[in-house]
Amino acid sequence: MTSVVSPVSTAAPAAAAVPGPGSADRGVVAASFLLQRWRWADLALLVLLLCGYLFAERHLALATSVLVAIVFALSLDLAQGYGGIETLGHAAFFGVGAYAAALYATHVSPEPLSGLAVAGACAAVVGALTAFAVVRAHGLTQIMLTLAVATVLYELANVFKGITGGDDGLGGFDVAPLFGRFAFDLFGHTGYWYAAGVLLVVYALCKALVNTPFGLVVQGIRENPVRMRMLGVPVVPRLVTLYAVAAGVAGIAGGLAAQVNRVVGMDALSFTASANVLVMLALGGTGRLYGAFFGAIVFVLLSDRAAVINPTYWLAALGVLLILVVRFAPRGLSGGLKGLR
Amino acid sequence: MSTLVSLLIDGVSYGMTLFLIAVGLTVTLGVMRVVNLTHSAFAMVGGYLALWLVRSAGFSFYLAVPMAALLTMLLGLAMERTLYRWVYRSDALGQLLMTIGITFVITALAKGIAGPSIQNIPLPVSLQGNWVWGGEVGAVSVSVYRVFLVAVSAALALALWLGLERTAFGARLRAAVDNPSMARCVGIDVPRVFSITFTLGCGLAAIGGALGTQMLPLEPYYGLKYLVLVLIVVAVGGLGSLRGSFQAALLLGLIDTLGRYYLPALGAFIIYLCVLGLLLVRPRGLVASTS
Amino acid sequence: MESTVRAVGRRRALLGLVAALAGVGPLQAARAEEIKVGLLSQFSGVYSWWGVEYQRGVDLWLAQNGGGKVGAHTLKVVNRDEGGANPQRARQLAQELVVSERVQYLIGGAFTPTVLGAADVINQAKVPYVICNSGTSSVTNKSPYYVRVGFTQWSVSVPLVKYAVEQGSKNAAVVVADYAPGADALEAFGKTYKSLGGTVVGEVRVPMGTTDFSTYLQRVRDLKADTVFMFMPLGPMSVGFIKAFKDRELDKAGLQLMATNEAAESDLPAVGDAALGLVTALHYSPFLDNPTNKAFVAAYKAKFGADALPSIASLAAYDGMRVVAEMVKATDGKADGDKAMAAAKQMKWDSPRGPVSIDPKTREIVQNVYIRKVQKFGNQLGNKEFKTFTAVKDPWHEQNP
Repeated sequence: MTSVVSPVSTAAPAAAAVPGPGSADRGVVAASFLLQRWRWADLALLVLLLCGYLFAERHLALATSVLVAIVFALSLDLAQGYGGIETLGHAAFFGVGAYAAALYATHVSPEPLSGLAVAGACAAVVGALTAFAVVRAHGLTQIMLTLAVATVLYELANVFKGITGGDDGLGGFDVAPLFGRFAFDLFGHTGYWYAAGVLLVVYALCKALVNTPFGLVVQGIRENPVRMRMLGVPVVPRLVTLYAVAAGVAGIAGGLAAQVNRVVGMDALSFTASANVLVMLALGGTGRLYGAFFGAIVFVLLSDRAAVINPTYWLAALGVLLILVVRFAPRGLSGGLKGLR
Repeated sequence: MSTLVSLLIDGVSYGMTLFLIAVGLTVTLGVMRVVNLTHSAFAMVGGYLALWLVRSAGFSFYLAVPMAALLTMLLGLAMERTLYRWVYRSDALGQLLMTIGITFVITALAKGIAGPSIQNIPLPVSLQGNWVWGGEVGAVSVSVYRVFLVAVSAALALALWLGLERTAFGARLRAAVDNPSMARCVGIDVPRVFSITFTLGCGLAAIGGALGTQMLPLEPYYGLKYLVLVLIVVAVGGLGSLRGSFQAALLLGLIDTLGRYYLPALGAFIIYLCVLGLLLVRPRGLVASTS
Repeated sequence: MESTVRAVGRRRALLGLVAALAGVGPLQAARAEEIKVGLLSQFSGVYSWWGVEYQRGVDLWLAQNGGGKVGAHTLKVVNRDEGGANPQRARQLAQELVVSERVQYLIGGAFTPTVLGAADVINQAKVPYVICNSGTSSVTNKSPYYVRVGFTQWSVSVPLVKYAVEQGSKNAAVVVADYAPGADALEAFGKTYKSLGGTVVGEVRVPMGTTDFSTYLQRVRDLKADTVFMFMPLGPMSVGFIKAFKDRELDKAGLQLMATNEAAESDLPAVGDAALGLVTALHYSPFLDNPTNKAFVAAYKAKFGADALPSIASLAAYDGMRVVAEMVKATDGKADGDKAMAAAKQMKWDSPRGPVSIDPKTREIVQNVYIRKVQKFGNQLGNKEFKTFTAVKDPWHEQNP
């Protein structure tokens, strides 16, 4: 946990960084590994959550959706930023988690924490099953496979309308008070702190995961799978595990959304949802976990305000923003800020 | 029997339209390995231009389509020389995101200029209606328009194949696809080959978009809606392979049409299940590129 | 570190709970001047037509009522964009409108999922929601605070089927889009037709987003029916299907196409002359021949331009505002959901669509349903009614009390 695994190739470029080998990249790669450690900056996240609560007093629903988006973006960062698995269908796991939590609350028990666990578990199982196909593919094929999986799940949700409610969505289920004491009310206080708590736990776990040998190994695989294979690392099983974990976290995000909103729609499985989380990560930067925070906050808040100000131009503005970010801040906004120092 | 003939023509014409739109992308991906998700938006631009030429400028359909293709090619060339220089500099994920960003901008512009409602290009009288032959029982009725589509696409596909196999440029292109670095060593101006290919690809996509509005109606979100279909053709066909994308497009069109008829419960599913299956068995596509 | 976080969190949650309980008070306070009404619709994306139409209906009503004056109170409409058929977002918006903007009433809702998304919120906050669209009958059962001024699929399908059977239809095929309202329509068409003695020879479900109908039309052709009942959502699917139907010359093959909302004047220009002669059943058309409607259309054109035509959406928003105003009058501007709903249930008025009332049992609107044919009015395509079913109550609720 303390020493950087030396065989990791320093000639290959770090994820989403400027291409081309060189000594500058060695520093970039090394720095990105160092960033995984716990830093004082992590306390800033706590402050952020508190500020969020204070400033968003009357907009807690929106603030909670930001928190859910952050958890979702974290899950994608695990798969894509750390594992190098490119996916356009990550919403599949979000959706599976959401429906699992909703169905659990409807048919088994309205207790939220167990519902969340069930959501994560279901999503992880689906992730593990599909991982075998996805991690072995590369490039466009990999993207298409993830897309195909997400679309199949979406259509399945439509076919089984009786269970999922189809387009009408699945609603009308109760969520029991958290710890038996804090009810989920209209004002959203409990919802916010529930989401905040889950986010902190998830973040802590992710952070811990990427600092384990496992975490370093998958980053190595991302950099140079051939080299890792030569070192005797079982590449496919490692990636499958990573993908399943990422899917599980996405499922937790979905379950959270389901419980806080008490309704799930098919849009949770849609391509738009997958594209949105990808954009969040692009804006924020992959491979550093912080990027998920930046990207999700910026994206959700912007899209919410833009929808109020001028919905038509939101799309154009987003497009321009994407172009500019990829061109000038390829490591995302959080990377761009680091560069300023 | 008549049903089957009808279905086959429908499936083939649908597939051929997809082929026209996708062929440019597969070559782009094959030659320069650039993930250009804006490609389907060019088809939309071609469609809208043709619509404008027919409706506002009063050109005949047969003139408007090639003119729209030319205009789209000019636009494609202009963008390739400028904006795409940025795209080339990024890695795969960056290209994906940047080109999606460009698609968003084009979508918003289309919405602003052409409005949010769907439109299709009115067919000239010569293409309307159906051909019917056979007696009372088992009469076969096929849409004139669809037959026209198949004919034009086949002709274009043939022209492309001839161009690829028989011309010097085609040889250079094939070299650039098979081994870009070696091609450069031999003196082939790969970036120039690519510019020309990109432009041609845009033109073909424009033709596909303009001809196919009866099946893929024009609307601002066209570029995002049909992107998946185009990507499927490219992924299943194999990057950089003309033959592969032809086969994949035909297969897609037929499976989709026949599937929806014979297994309606599975409807939209079918395609994605088949894609999953195909990609699992042949991850590099039906006709894998050799490099 | 984790335990401190939890402790802080718990304290905050407790504070939050106290604040919430205290907050219940202000929600009930009467606001003598400004009463906020939350308008939920689609203002961006593919369905933005709904946003424009609802806004127009609302604006026209406000303009005709002194900028929203109801007695001593003034109504202020606050918009929110549902952004697609996203129930979670709809719920968040409803929550925000109720908690942050303190709206007393909600109006709008473009689709069933978005309307249902708010059910939880309005039940907790006791805020009446005037539904302007959503054709699914069961929606009003999900909350006693829903009142619908649009229409339900059942209420227009049953008269259509009755008309078809009167005209001698014996075998019918039903083609619907494969989503929840489509399933509703399938049931409505099918059950009614069978109960009137007809035979349903086949059902065709078309996946959402289909643009190429060739396969489905092939199926329809093979089914050998004399009538085809269709249900598609407004927009590309509906337009595409009707055009394809004509292109394939299925009408010449003896099949009569009948629909409900698919010949909306907003879509007819895209279909073109292919729509001429199409028989549909619906509760409103801007070409409806009654004095209230003529005045309504004139006022609409005066405000939005000579080319503008009201639609079922703008009409619903217009009538919806009237219902809100009645509720405000009844509660004298106080936020009393139960009193407001009691008043709404008594309402009867002359709408541009004809005489209407709200059914006190189901909170659905009771209105005329017209059988119409598409024809040209000058050089505009529109629907001309030739048969009226008066005071139609929602049949689904009748059958499922």
